[in-house]
Amino acid sequence: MSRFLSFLLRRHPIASGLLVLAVAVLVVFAWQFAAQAIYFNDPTHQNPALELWMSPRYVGRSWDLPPPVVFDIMRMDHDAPPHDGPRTLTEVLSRTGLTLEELQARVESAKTALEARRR
Amino acid sequence: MTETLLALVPTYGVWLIMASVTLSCLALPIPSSMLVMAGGGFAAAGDLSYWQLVVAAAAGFMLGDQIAYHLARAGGAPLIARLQRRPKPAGVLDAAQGMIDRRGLAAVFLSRTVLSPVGPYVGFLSGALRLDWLRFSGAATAGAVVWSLGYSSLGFGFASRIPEIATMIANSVGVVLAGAVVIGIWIWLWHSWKASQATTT
Repeated sequence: MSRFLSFLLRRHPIASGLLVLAVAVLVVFAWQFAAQAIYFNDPTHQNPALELWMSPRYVGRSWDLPPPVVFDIMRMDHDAPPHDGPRTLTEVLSRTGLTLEELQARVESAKTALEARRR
Repeated sequence: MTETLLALVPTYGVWLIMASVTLSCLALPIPSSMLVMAGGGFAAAGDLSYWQLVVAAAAGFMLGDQIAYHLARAGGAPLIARLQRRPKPAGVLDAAQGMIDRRGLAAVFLSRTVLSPVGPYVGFLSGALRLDWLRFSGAATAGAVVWSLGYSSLGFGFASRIPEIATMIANSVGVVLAGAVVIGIWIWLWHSWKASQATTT
């Protein structure tokens, strides 16, 4: 083993250095992946915070809210065809004049109300 | 940047996905895997059709692969021919060509699925080194279908967790690529060690 190591350092110092570097990079990525997987499996992190790229239906799906509830929260016309309505939360905010925080609060209170009714 | 792109998905739908997948086959830095996955999430929410998404992603992938292959074949072949007239690069090129001939299909398929960051370069190399077009297209199409189905379904299944899955995928791609480099260097060093043992004994 030590002969192998001294062979590496003597004959291939650059390749050995690259090997060590690649192992270090591998460990960093594996560590981040593991940390993310643990966070992912934590049930308290299930409902994602609203972000501007999300669509109203996407919010409904990820917060498990029925479409009529989402339409009310975002002050959307229930009868308008999908392509007429706002496509992203950016559009919802500009149409309603709400801020993202206010919208988040509305979603959270609707979720709580819905869960209270289901119990 | 990624968020701006993501916001375009519900607005422009599957055409945006198709265009971005095609462009990323040409080595342009577009996070197309994340876009397809987000597309899966939007499909689960009812903004897009799941099957249209899969077809658009796979079609964009095949189109991009063909563009890369033919561009490199037209532009790269003369360059390769000129390099082959010099003795030193000719050896390396012959080795690369031999590998493409022997393991080319596996390389094409793997670089379209597990090792997708190197996909564009394998596409260019396959064209420049004149890997048989039919065989290249077969392997590339199979890879494109698996990739498109995989990312669309992942997004569809974990619709509410798209941002987190995107980070996890970025990290797992890092693990795979760094792992491939570690294995590659290790094998090379081990062979070198074995060879030196054989000469000393």
